[in-house]
Amino acid sequence: MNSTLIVARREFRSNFDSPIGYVVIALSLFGVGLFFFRDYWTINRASLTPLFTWLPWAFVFPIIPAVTMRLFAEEKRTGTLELLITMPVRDREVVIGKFLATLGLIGVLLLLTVSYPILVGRLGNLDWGPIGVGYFGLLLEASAGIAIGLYFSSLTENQIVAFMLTFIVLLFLFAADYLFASFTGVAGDLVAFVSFQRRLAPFGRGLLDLRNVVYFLSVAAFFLMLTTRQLESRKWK
Amino acid sequence: MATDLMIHTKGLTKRYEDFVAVDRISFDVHRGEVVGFLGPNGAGKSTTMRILTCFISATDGIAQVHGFDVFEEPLEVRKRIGYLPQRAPLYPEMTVHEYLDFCGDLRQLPVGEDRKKAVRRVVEVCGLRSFYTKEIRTLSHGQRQRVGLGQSLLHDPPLLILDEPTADLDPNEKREFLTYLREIGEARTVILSTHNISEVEFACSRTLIISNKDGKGGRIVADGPIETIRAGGGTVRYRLAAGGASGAKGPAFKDLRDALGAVKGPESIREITTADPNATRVEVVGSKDSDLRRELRDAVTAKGWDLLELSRELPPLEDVFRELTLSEDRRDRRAA
Repeated sequence: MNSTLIVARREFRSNFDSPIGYVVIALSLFGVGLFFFRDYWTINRASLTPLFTWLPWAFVFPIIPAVTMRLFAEEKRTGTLELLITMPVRDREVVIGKFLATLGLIGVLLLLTVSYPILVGRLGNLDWGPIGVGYFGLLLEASAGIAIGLYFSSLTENQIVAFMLTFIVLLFLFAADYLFASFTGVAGDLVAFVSFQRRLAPFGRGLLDLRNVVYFLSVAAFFLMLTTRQLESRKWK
Repeated sequence: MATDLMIHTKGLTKRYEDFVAVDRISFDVHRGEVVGFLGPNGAGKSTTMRILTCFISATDGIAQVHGFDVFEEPLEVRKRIGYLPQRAPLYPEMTVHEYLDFCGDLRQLPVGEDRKKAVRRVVEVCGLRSFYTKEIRTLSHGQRQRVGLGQSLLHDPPLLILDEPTADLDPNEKREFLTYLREIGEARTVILSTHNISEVEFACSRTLIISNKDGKGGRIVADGPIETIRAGGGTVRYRLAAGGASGAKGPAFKDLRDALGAVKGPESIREITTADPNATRVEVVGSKDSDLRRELRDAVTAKGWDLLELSRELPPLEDVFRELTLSEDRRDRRAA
């Protein structure tokens, strides 16, 4: 088996060998369900809006910081990074393996939320096309977020520090529209360019814009490259 | 690549900004050598090992493993090395079986009978059978260390690099492990880093002593078979026992010390234990360039005492190690 997949498989399993995977999935489903059923019971409307409104926020806090904080920080603390790095495995294979494993965990989480569209589909007609695009958008946002979390985890042995740094950067990128609403001109354009929320909104409406796809994939690729460089930097420090 | 030269380093240097961890180290290790890598804390042992295993890079110099440069061809180097870092690198949530399987996957060991054989061998050699199916988090320090050792041996590497592997083993486990090292060292190359000199004396055919006593970076201060290194120290030890005439009680230590002190040459004289109640036994340290046995014998007999024992020996490796690695400052403080 390919080294990347070997690393990914171990990492993915480790999510379920500790409470982290279960807790993240359970809390996320509970949170989305809370908003979903609040609308359902209070205004008698079954809508998937909570899924595509609140889940991206839940990714920013706490899901992605929580699932990425230990990826490298824990391996550094326990010394297992030395094992991985001294095996016949390339640094980038370790990074991509961890990235894929965490994306897999988020994939499982998203798969479990499919119960909500199924429920809505039973109550009325549901156009599955936009739902699929919405899920694709969530997966792209998660990819970019995981790559960012992976990078900050590679900077430190302290998981809390990794969590906070990831949260701050994701909050900045996600909520740039709110945080810098007063910006105009070039600054305003820049805010609009980086804003995860603005990029994600069309997916929620079922619009697949290639520019947004490329943006999220570029952010993910950029931070994966930074993480690989960070890992390699032990050689020339 | 068929070569008996397993490790070649030349001018190997590692600097961290102003701090020099390793300073121009050069040594070669050949197939079939079990090399004890001795040095005090901070001398640069782990740094050297980490360079050889491609975990970090050298600032300067050459390091090759089995003909492959550690910087240019790290994957080729890593394939040929079994490495056990100071802290056994384990995933506590895995069972021993899962962990060895994971390491086998990373080592690209073919799944099937070959893999099973390799695992069986490691389980046997490292004594993992009784806890093979247990989660690593439930194991003792010694058991964990053995699991770590197991992963380093799994692919039957031609070169084994072990950084203080016996630190958490009990005396019986240590002895078994060192005996095993001695056995496998006949066909492979082993580098064993340790603080424990008796382990080196037991298991290693050659000793490298690295020291950073002047604080300017770790350097090789001795290299060779243990006897050669012991002979390279500046001193020899005389063991002498004196008894009273015709089996009477021996002289008081102070009297014996005064008598021997009159001889020109001894650097120090101290009393050592003896099972004979009628003997007084001392250790005399002198320069290795002279032989004081006759003078010491005469000093004893001149007082009318019986000479019960007199020998001249090379200093123990421990003393040579201390001499080579203890900074002047620390030596003065100890003496004080």
